[in-house]
Amino acid sequence: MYCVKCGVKLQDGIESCPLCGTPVWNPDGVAIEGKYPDKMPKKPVETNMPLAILFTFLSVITVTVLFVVCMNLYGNLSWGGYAIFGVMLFYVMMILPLWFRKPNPVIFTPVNFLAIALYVGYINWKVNGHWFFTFALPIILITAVEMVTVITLGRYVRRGRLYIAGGAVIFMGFATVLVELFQTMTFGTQMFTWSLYSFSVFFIFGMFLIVAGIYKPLKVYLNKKFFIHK
Amino acid sequence: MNTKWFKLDTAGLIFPAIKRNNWINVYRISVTLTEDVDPEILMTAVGNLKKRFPSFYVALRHGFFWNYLEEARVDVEVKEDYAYPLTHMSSKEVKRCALRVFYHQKRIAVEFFHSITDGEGASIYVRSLTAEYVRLKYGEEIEYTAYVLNPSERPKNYELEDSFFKHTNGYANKRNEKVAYRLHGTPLKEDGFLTLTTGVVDSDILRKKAKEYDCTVTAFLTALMIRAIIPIQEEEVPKKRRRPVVVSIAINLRKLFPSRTLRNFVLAENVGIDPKKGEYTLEELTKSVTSQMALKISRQNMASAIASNVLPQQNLLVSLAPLPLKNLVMDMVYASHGEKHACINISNLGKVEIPESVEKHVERMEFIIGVQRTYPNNCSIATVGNTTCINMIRSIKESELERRFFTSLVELGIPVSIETNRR
Ligand SMILES: [Zn+2]
Repeated sequence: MYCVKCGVKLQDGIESCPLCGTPVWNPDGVAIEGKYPDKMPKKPVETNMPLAILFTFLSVITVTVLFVVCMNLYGNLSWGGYAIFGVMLFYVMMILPLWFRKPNPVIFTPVNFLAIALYVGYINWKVNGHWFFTFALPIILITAVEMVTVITLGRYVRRGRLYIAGGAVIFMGFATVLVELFQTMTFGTQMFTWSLYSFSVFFIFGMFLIVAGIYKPLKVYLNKKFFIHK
Repeated sequence: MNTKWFKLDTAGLIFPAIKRNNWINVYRISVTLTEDVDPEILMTAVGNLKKRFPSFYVALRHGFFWNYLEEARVDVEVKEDYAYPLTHMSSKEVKRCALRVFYHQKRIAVEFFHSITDGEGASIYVRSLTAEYVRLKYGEEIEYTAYVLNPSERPKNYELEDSFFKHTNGYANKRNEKVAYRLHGTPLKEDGFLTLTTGVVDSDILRKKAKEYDCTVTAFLTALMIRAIIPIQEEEVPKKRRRPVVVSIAINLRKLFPSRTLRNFVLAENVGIDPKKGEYTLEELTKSVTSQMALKISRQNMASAIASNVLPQQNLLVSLAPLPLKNLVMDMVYASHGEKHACINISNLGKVEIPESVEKHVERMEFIIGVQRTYPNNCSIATVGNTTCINMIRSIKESELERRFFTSLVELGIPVSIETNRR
């Protein structure tokens, strides 16, 4: 049998030409002798299920033991609280993603920051600190916003990686100024003692990346200079 | 008992770093016999070769600084074939055994994770396996050669060497290549399915036709492949934005340097044209491809290409970087440079010599490479006797490239039989 359009010889019994899709006339209804069987492979499930189960088990045991021990010794959580919430924080950051086949960082990053904020908040409350709302929380929030933005852009925007990187670096520079501001507000230190230096370093580096994005020859040059043979 | 282990060879280093959840560099060599395969005997034959080919029966393991291959603790699986070749080899599987064997009707197929060996090494293994199978099944007396190894002999040191280190000239090539056109298409519904289109041609007719154009079969098929891709780009991209059409050709370095290694000793060179410069006739294409190949595939130029691969390993700073960092860097470099400069790979195993006692039981031999991480199409060729099998694989729906390529052979007067695994 030949394909009338392509002129190639075809397997007996094939329904249509594999190249152009032209139906093949098969009056005798010859069955095709398959080059390959029909059996599809089982989808290999690449999860970390066993690891996730093991660590969940270990975490539950640790938390329970800590709780029982502290309650017996002190009648309250005492230092055990740090450990228990520490284990929980570790669990959220490291173990929780293992349960998923493709953990989406756009969802998991904010969750992680939320967990961190809660933990730090707990410590602040335990030690009767006055630094949580004016210092720790804002810093965590700024970092979270930056990380989530970069990760989201990196994941869903195909082009302009250099602009994203440059923008992120400059934002980091701003963030250092804000950190100093919160430091001043909370601990009464002098403003603008160090952050302007860090800001200018970040700013120059960020602008360099953006320029590399705009100015093609520089991009090509960087590509060439930092190229490693495949 | 102490298990054997092997450092990855220079070419093999990259593959563990660049694999993905759904992609890994695996390829297949299969032989089709004249009779149905007996799986029991095949299993015995596979077992019998283990001592002779220690670097093949391995699993991929992680060290602190580098990945390495370690003697597999499980037997190589011998399984009934699936609906398509090169089903995904998961990370878990490579950690158990990076080699697998399939059978279906008259066909024996072996799939190799590329860190084990290259096409040439793999073809020696498959030929030796076929010989052992034929010996067990039909009681044939085998004439062992350099390509069909005697399983009762001991492995030689030169078979296990990393030949890259022996033949580097220490002077790395500078590369300055343009980004090539990217083939693409509609992804298939069945995740991971690969459509194989095999064009079977008479090798004598093909060779004669190539000779008419004053070139080798590889150069001839490369020129035809370029000619098939040009109009695909034309239909889609306006003239000003058209990019070079380039084929990456696998070069068996054993042909240029004295080496009989069974590890990887292969590199790729890119050959192509820039459609912005004008239109090309087939004569002009074959001429251009032939001269580019002559220029690039010289012993000196390849020694420099080898150097670019060897030098980073000799750098102490690079060597001392922890493995995850190396993996990350290699992956990033591969993502930005590894597949940017060509549209498709062509890998021609050439004429595969088999001793008479084995060849009479063999109908054909096929070489099938998988799709690349970003190329949806790839092409691999092997010849046994006077049958050449041109295998084109794809992960997309469209068969446009295959149609253009194979019909161009027909138009030149080379009869082609087409087979496929798609129903
Ligand atoms: Zn057709």
